[in-house]
Amino acid sequence: MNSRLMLRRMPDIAIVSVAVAMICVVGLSLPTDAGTSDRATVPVTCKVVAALEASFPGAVSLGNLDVGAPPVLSAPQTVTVRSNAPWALKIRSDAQDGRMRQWTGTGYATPAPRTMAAPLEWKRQDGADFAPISGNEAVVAAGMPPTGSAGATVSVVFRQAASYDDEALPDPAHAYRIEVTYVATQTY
Amino acid sequence: MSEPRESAAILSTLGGVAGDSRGGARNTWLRNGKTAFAALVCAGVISLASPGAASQGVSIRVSPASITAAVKDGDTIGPVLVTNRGTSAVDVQGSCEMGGHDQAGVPVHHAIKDPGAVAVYITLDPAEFRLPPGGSRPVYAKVHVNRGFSGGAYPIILFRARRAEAPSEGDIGATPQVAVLTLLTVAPRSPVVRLEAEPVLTSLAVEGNADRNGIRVIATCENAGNIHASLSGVVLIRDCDGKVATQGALASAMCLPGYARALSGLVDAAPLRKGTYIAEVRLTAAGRAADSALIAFRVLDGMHVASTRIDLRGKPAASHGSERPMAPRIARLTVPAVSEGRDLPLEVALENPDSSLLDPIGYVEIWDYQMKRVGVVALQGASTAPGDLTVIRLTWPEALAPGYYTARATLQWRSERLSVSTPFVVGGSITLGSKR
Repeated sequence: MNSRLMLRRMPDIAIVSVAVAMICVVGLSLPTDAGTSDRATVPVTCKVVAALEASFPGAVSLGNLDVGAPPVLSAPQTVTVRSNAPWALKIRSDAQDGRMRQWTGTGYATPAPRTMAAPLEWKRQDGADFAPISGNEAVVAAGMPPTGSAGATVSVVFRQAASYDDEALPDPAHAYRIEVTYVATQTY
Repeated sequence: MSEPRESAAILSTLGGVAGDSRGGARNTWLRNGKTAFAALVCAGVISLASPGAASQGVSIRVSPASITAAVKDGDTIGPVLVTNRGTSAVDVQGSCEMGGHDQAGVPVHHAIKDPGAVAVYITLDPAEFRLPPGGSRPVYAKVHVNRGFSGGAYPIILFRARRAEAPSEGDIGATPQVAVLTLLTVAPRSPVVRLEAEPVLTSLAVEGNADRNGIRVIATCENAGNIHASLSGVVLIRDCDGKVATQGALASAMCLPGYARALSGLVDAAPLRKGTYIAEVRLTAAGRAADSALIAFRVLDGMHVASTRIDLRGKPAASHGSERPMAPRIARLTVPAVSEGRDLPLEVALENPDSSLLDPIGYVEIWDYQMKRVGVVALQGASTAPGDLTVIRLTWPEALAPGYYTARATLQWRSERLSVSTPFVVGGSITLGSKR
């Protein structure tokens, strides 16, 4: 009776033994701590530094403005941005009221430069309406996503009107001028 | 830029501008291309600056473009590597201004007139330098902390780059600037002083079309603390019985102390039907619960959402106030003083003294004795005619456990909240002692 039972149990014991052996083999092949085997799992981490690159347009000349003629448009002034974080582009002028002032070639005429009657206006090329530029920063593009390597472009068009309120400058070396500042920045 | 590209760009501009003033003519003009362009110029409808009048620009790179650091007076941060990526030499001038942001997170900055008057300012080394094409220069920033200051400080470093030659040509000069943001933390010397962000919701808005892109919920919050906060949040859209019908997440955003930030989230509107809903916004700062607020809104025919905005600043105006005679008021909120807690009846009487129809929208909340919100249901009912009084009867959908409660009815009117509260008790026996 006992020997028969032993014989019946033999296969069970063999199966258990094989299973234990397999678990041991599989266990050895799994990654474990360096302290218990010659293999180790080492985490590799890094952080990417926020970087911002922007290519800006240069100065632009509007040429000769005719009084009473339709406002003159500039060619699109394109800013190309590469950024690995959300970014924005802003614009402002050095004149608080956005009006072009008499420029001597080296600086604004003093003490009282002649000033254009109407402010320089701007809009995004794909925007709807022109707005006067001013000394306060205006947002050209906001909430822009990271650009990837290809970068992203934003184009601005300027518009200036002339009227009989705008004096012709007697000195041919003088011109009306304004300085536009583009600010490229990542956002909070 | 090559000539064909420039022509295309000018034509594109013309299309945009002409389209603005002449309605649908834009596409036609673009199709006709150069013919239309020539015709417009000849006709004097528009005039253009002469092509090629623009001068070469500059290209500049800064890395890192933002710096987060814990600092003390005299520390140096950086370096910021400034690189000239253009083809001409540039003169770079660095400066530091005080930073903040608008509601979209776009930095704003203002000049520091008196460094002694600001908490923290930065001096750059070097502050001015010339970079040849492809050249780089590391710039170090020394932090100056004025005595006694602790908290967050957010100077912005600006690098202005100009071509080394012919810097003042053209009628419209161009000055490029690239900004480097800093988030500096100055630890307090005294353990009594704590650095804490205190974001508070100041307005909620709901807009969009439930049938198309979902509902957009915009939460505006201000940080009344002394350190910046990384904000995020969830939006629960509750049906008229207060059950969550759908939900979404607010996009995370940084909010500086003293500034406001708008966080928006798109909520899947597929489960919604025509009716009144309540959006519950739960704001978190650095993963911790910060503030929450409610706004009721309607989904109309065609699954259009009636744009709704509520100003949350201050407490809801007392509905019984008489400063604005035309404002509707909650004449009374009636809850049985003592009830059994099941099918609790609520009665809200609205009075409309205005000459126009009042379409009431709002909600009723019940708070427990610890002032924790137990639940909320939508306040909706028939329109109230001018001069009329309408009674809205509701049944609280959930059973309430015995205890002390406060019911608060809030009516949204224009962008304001008008509110009335009343206490009540749910009776019952409470067994004290432990189970065996």
